[in-house]
Amino acid sequence: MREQLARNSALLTVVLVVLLAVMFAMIQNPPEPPPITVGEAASRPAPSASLSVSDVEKQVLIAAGRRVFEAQGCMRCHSIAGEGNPRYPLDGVGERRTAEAIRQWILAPAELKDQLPARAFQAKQAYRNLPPEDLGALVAYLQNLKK
Amino acid sequence: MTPFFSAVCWLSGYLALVLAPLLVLLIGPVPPGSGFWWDFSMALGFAAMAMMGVQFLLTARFRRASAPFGIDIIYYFHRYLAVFAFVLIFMHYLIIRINNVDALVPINPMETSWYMTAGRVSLALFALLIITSLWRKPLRIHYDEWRMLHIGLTVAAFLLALGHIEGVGYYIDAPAKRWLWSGYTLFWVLLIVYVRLLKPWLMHNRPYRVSEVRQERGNSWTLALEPDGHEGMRFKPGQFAWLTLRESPWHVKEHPFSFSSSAARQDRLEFTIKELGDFTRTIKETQVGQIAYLDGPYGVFSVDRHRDAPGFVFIGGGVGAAPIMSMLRTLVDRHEHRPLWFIYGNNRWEDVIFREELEALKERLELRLVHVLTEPPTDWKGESGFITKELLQKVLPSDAKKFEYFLCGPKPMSDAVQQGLHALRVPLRQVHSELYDLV
Repeated sequence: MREQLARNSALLTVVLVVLLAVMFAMIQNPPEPPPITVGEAASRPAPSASLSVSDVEKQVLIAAGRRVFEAQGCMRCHSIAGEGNPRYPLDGVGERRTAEAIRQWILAPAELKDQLPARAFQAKQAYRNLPPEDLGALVAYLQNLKK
Repeated sequence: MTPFFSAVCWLSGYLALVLAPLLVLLIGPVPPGSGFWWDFSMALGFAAMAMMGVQFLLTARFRRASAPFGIDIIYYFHRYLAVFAFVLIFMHYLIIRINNVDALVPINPMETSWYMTAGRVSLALFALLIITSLWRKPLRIHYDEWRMLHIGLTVAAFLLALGHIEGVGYYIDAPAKRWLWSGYTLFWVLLIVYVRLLKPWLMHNRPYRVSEVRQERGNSWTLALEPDGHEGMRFKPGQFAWLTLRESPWHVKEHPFSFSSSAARQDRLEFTIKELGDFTRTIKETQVGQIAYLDGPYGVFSVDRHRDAPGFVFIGGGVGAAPIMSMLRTLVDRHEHRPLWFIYGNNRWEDVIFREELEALKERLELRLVHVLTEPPTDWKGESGFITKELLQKVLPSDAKKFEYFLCGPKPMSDAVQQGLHALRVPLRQVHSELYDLV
């Protein structure tokens, strides 16, 4: 009987702890208001059916950039479309930042030290050793990320 | 303060301590949400960490905190909590593994950040900790070695987990939170210092000397200790203490035993110990004058917690008679007049510990002594077999349900007697037993 008391109190503790963890996750992630879509879909340009030569080259570059993104383990800290670490999402980064700014945020020069977590600043230093064509492809891929 | 009220107080304190890190996470600037499952997993990690931290507190043997429950229950609580907390830690990992595998770094420690490796190693060590504790006997791990392993694994797993949290640093980045979290960590470190260094030092300053080693029936030995340079230990009859023999208190080679002597004397403490395991087999080799240390007293298995009872029924098996003997000897010293019963189960008549002294006690107490033997001699006229409901009904008076019951013996006997008493409508809260054989 006393053994059951010990088990039940432990069980009660765990239930309370899990409930509080659920609460924490819910407070952190309030349900988003439904997006206003009226008319928006219509105003978006339809994807072009015919691609020019430069478009094809651009698509190849973007695909190469995506491979660099995956190979360098960027998803340990960043996510795109819900894939990867959701703490620092990159969705729509192409709308927020210029190509040059993206390049700077990847390479993390000393000026950015105060704006990055120490650990991220440290990790980014390694990207200076990326071959220039890989870096260019990565920037092109990120530049192309629109909402 | 009533025991119930103080139990509620201690339990609330426990919950506050476990839930504190989660509340700390919620105050102040919180990083933006990262999706329900991600944040849920992180919260589980923090909560499990707090639960593991409180484990140190539970086994620190704070006498006041354990008094309302009995320290045996605290150890059971410790065991269940460990399993549950481990499940939470594993869920913390599993949710990310399933939901967001890209955020995990490679397993190879050379290619990855140290704090992720720290987290993984910590998870593995916690698993090992649980396995070696729940299945110590089937794995044939010696008790003393297990304790050292347990302490080493715990501290390593815990420090690695702290490193993991510090290294990741998402939630604890804000300065206020960093302070709170560091304070929390410091609290655990101080606790370890207290348990492993300070408490043994206090024990070291209150040594005991072995004053007698006396052979008893049934492969048992009574060890008498006398305080060396202090006034000894005041205990309640039926309580127990952790005994360190022939070792320094820092060696953590201690074993729990019930006092068997009268609580009226704190300057001479006796323990009656049956040869059952590696340590208990060495009791007979103890020399008079050897040094010993005690950590105690602990336990709620005592007539002193039920001073208003109209009478007491003791039911014991084998060496389980030791704490009962302590209570009976104490009651003699206090000139007790209330009615007492002692139903005493043994295999063979020659092995009945305290047999002669119990006969003598009948002269000085209102004691009805009932021996029950499973292997009775041919001319045996007393009770035989197990202590069943029928036997209890025959031996006890019709108003049996008003007495307090003290039950100490092997688990099958203990379970059977509890069922028997339940069938005789004795309220379970009047049936007291100590849980031992913790690991």
